[in-house]
Amino acid sequence: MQVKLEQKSLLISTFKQLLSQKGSAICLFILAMAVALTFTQEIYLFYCNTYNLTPIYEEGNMVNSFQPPSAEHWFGTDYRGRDVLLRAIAGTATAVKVGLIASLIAAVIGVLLGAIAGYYGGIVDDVVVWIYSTFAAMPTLLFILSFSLLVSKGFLSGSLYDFFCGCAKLFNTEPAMFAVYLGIGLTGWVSLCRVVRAETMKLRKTAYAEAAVVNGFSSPYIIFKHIIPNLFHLVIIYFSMRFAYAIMTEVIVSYLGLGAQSSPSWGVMISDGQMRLWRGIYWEVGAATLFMFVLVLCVNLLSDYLRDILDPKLKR
Amino acid sequence: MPLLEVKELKKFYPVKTALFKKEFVKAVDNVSFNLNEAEIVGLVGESGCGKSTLGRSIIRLEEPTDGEIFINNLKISNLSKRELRKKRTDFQMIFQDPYGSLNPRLTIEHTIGEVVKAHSKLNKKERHTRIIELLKMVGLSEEHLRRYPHQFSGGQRQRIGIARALAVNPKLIVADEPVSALDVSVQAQIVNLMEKIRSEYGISFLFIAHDLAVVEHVCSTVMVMYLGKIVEQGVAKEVVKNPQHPYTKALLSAVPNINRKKLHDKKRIILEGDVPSPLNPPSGCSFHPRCALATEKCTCEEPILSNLNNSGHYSACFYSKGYK
Repeated sequence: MQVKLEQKSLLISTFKQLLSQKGSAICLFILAMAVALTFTQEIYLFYCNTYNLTPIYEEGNMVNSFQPPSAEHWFGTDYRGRDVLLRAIAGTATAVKVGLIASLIAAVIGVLLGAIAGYYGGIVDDVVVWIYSTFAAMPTLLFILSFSLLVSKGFLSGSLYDFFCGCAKLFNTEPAMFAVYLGIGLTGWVSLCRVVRAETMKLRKTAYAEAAVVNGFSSPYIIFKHIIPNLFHLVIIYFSMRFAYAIMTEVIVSYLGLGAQSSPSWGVMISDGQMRLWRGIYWEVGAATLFMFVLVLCVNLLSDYLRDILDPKLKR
Repeated sequence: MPLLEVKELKKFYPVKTALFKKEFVKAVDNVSFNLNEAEIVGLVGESGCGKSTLGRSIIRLEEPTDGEIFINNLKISNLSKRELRKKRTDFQMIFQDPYGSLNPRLTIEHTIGEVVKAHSKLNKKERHTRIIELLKMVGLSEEHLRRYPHQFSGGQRQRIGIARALAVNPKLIVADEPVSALDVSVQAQIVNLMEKIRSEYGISFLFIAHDLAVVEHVCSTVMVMYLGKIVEQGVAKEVVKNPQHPYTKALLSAVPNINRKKLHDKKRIILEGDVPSPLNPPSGCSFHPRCALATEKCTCEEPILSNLNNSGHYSACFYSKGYK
């Protein structure tokens, strides 16, 4: 089985192929907008903090609470009279940030452990397999919930809590959200690790990996130079799948009141809005659900497209 | 002083045949030979006889179970991993599959360049000239530098593989069936290239093949392997013209030849059955179940590789002329 790549760079060729189809181009565009929004939001927050301004999505007047959708407020206002559209947009930024950071953590752990286990084999392999089997056996959501509960409800000792706050500052977020990042990241690497391990076992037997051994290169060099680049398509596919999953998990955790505390989040919006659904105030829940639906659908479709493009087994 | 000395090399693979039972596949069993400087030694045998394992054990891609390997009087067989990595410049390998032996994500400049970079202190410009020099040695040119492996034909890739092996100035190259995946016309080019490298740069080759005709053309000495053991060894021309071991005779009679009738008026020898499983090799001479000459003696006593009439032609068969 031979993987033939026509273009030079994997990323550039993938982008080109994604843009050549209508569906994937739209998905890519929406995702790019969301990512751009995330970075804008970070810069905007930084700006607000320096000049001590309230971000516009936090501005509201109790007089205007629960206004239905109108020309002024497209998705109405919430209980504090804040614009729901702006909050939903700000929620996108929170969700994408969780998706990016959490799946990045998962990807780094998964690729490193998988490649090391697959390449060295033996006891190293046994240990890694044991670790990921343990993680795979844990109920993921419970792990994330208990993890963020530990941090947000003050069950940690002082120094550990300070450490968490420091880490959270590093990512410009609140400690509870950082716990969600970590929780999703620490549970999400298992499937990628499995695939990378299997692929590494295959690749280290290829003639070019053996040639590198004969040429006197060290094992870490061979792993990073010859093995990981040749399984990177898997990393991209699994990264996009994890991304959608991380967004949904963040919403669930925030909905349960354990993730986002003060930052705007779809989960918080849904949990706020559901109490007034019976009074016919549908817009807050509706807006959050709609935004989440569009983003998760795009990411999922995109990961399917990526799989079609990158997985050599699906190639015609 | 031989360049490469292999002494009683063994490579056994453990196989679990039952819950608490472990048996060994004797892929290479008690092989000894020498290889001189600027010499091409051929190693032939059918698939599964252990010739690739022997080649890979010599350069320690597989860890030998037992035995000693000396290259340039340096004992390779018990170097530590770290020392071995430094000494790897002395011995290189060319692989069978030209399509798998190059990293598809690296340009040729990169593939050869990383090897040059790792083993020399040349600066960027000197490296560039060195890479071009290496490409010219194997009959490629500067224009190929920035191309990716998939843009080359099988023969060209094999040349790139050879250039990569040459990049560290080795003394010995183990060529593991370098031509068996190539077209006949390209095979000749690669074989001639190896001969050119041997005569111009004094590099020795251990040429593993299953085609005696190719081996006769390029090798000075040939070894015939059967079930992990060397059964016949001698000067290539002599072994081909005057084979002593019945297995070699059978191998030779399988080579298609336009002038067959002139050369051998004998009937074609067709071997029955498969190579026996190396897990349970036959008693005595391991070739006896397929041998036409086999007698009672062959089933219980194992022949040793013996120097026939002290002529430097070795054979492991009781019925070779001059067997002692």
